[in-house]
Amino acid sequence: MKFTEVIEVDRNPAQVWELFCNVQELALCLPGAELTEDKGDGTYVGNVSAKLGPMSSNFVGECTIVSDNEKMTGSVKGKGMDRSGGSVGLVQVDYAIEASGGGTRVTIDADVTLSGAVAQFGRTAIIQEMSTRLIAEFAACLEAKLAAESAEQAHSIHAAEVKGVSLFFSSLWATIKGWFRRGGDD
Amino acid sequence: MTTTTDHHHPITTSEVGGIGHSIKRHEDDRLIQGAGNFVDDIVLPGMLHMTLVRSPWAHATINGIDSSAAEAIDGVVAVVTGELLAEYNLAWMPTLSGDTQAVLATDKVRYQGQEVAGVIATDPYVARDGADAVVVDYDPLPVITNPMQGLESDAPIIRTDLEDKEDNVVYEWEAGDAAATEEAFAKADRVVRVETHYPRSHPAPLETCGIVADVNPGTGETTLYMTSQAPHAHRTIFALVAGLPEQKIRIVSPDLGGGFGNKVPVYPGYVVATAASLVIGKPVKWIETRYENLISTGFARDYYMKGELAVTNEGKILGLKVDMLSDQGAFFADAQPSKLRAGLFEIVTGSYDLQAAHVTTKGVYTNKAPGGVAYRCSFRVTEASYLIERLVQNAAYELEMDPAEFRSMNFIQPDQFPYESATGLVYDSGDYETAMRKAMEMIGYDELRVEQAKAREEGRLVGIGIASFTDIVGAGPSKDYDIIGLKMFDSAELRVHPTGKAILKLGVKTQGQGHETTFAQIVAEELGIPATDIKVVHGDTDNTPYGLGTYGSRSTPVAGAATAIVARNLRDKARDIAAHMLEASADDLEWENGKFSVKGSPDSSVSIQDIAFAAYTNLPEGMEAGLEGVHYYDPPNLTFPFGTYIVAVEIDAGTGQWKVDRMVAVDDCGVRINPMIVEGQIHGGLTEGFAMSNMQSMSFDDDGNCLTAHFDNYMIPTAWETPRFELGETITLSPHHPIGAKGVGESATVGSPAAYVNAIIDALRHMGVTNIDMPVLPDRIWQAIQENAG
Repeated sequence: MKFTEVIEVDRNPAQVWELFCNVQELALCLPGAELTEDKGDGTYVGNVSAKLGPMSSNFVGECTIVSDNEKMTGSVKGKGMDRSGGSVGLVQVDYAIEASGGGTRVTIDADVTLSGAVAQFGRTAIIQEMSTRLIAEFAACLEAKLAAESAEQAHSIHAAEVKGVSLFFSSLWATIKGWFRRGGDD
Repeated sequence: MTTTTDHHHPITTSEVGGIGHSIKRHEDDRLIQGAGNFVDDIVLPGMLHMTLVRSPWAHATINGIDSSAAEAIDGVVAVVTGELLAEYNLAWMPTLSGDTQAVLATDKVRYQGQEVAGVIATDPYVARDGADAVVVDYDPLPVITNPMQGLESDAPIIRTDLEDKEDNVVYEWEAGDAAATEEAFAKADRVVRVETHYPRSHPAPLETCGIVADVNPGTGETTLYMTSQAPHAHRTIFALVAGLPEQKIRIVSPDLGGGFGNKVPVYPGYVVATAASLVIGKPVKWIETRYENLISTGFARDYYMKGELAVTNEGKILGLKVDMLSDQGAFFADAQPSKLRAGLFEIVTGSYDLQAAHVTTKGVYTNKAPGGVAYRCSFRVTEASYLIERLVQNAAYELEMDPAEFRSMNFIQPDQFPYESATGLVYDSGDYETAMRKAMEMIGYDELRVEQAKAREEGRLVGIGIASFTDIVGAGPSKDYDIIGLKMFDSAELRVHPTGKAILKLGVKTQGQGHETTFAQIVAEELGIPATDIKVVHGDTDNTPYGLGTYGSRSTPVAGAATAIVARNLRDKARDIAAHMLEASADDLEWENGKFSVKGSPDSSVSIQDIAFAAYTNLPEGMEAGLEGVHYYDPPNLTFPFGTYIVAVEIDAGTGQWKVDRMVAVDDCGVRINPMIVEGQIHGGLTEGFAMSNMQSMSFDDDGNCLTAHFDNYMIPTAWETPRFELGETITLSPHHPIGAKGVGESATVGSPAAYVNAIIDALRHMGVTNIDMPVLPDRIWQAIQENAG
């Protein structure tokens, strides 16, 4: 499952890049994510929990971050498993930060592979839509942090807990709308 | 062979309940009262419970397994991994098709749901928690989800465990005569083609698979209570795989809640539970969940088929060409006789007299569960029957002939039996025309065609589909048929007690077919002992003679014949005892209604019960005591049940929904031992055929995730959607079977899918639709209508 999200932020690239280099702060913006250990070599241990309709999963795993300060690009490779549900996930996220008009454009390319129970319900479209919403929430959180008056205030901002049911239905609704949109385009 | 009507009426009285009586099933007394005894009902002192850790990935390297967290859980006794099994040389095991299969994965996992570890605990829920706590470090690999991908030049190799294996090809197989077929095609006026996928289905029995393995640490005696359709063969496999002395292995297959082929293979769970019991010294129970059963146990079908039929403009079929790709999953574990690579697919020439046929098949490894079981079918017969019946129906349209008349022009005629087919099978008997005409009469075929024309004028989509199938069951003659070397005979042991009651022990094993009743009826027919006085024992290897088990509709053709013959052998002995009792010559006695009497003086007679008593109390000098025997029956040929199914459907053009208006099924399975049970079998098969055509398909996403891992997506028909069936019969005896019976458990699954799909195509053919792959879901019909609407 591959998708690309582009976020425009009203801050200069250096400020945005600084935030992207602060993994602790970044993790706060990812809904349902928790960072539990920084191994110091670019590897981080944590977990991500999410609810999809009746299913709740808690992926435990680690990720490795490699970034290029000069180019302001980086990539995250993560692997996790949901022990209680028999699901596993692989994620690769590449991000690039560049100046755009007066602000900054953040391009996020993500490739998520889910396998096991969570993927067996055949609701890939819903999962994709849900991922898009997670990214949107992530972006909103980033913007809020960057707009904060102080470091303390910025730190206090974090993504809202993922509201499983509402997210499920809004994702479902977006999926259904998508069908009709595609139908209309034909 | 002629059709007889004599066998429509039973010879024995209803008190005796021999062949032809619809007596109630003996096993139902306990089953409907909840007093059955299934594997999961078995509880032994000190018994532990096992849950398997399964792979979430379809294809991934295993870097390591960390079971420390699981072992720390209170109540977890042990975690068994492939590494541990390897110490006992049990990490791999042979499959029924001569391949090898991982018991617990050591190098990599090859399909989603593959067994990676077993967690043994004091309680099933603790075992489950333990399984969740096992951490397996995987590195995913590229995935192959269909045979076409598997054959691509850059496809990843799935079977890296096989030395020098450089592709994913499992086997290449052909049947028939290529040159003769080319010749026949050269003479043809037209060639009709059907290209279709027979989707992967799953037998999904009501009861999942399971075992209670009980290895006595003191004696090494191993008792395995397991869901087995073939307990004797499984005992031998366990002896060979585990190196256990066979006399110390006892397999008990208690009541089974359905099998349909799903309980023929030896699954890793059985082996792991047995190894765990051996190592721990306590009984270990393993019962699959529904989810595990669907994702990991024996699937069926999954053939990509291209068929071509060469025909003349006059309507004569000249030849048949078939080319197929078979999706075998990660291990070649088809449950079928050793010499058959594509099962009994040779039956693809069906009910038709054609000069030449040629079939080529390639089996390919994919990242899916292994299996290829004969799901209610005698080894790939369902796929073969489906293809020929679809081709024949389409050929009739091409020639602008009525599909029934086209069949009629090409049927093998009754005087051609025994008939050698173009692929080399010898059909025992058949009268296809009579069966088809009977079905046409029952459904009112001519009137239906008139109504169809009228409906079409009104813009309604109405279709009539026919399938005049020939099945092939009862494997099989020992010269050609074996499973891992074991010849496919079967057995019956019969003992008549002094009071005239009897016990019959069988090498086959019921999963719901009613053996405890029908086999008692065979004895009742032959000896005159009431069926209710006969106890039938099966499924316990210590207490029954050796047999290859129940699948491929083989119980009646093989073990049924063994039963009739052992009963006849006892009757011969009974004659000698009767002669002694009546002080007459054995040659002067005649047998009728369970009695021997002196010819000409009917009052001078002794009943079978009197004779049984004498067998233990009053024997002629020099005769061995008792009235018992055993017979191993090696069938001279398979049997070929047949029939015609006709389905009438109406399709909603707006939604693609279809419903069955009428479904008529005329079956000819030779002699019907218990007509009620036969009809029950046919109802079940027609329902499963309907499910395959209408709703079922095991499907996977590109990553190899099984999308039909639950009954919400892999649908089981309920009474609500299942059509009403109208049954009819003709009776054509099998000339080589002692009682003329042919086996019927699978005919309806084999024959009916083509009838349903042909009906749908019949409704849409005026639009130019010639094929819709099963399952024919409403969206597929709707799509076909849109594509052909112009």
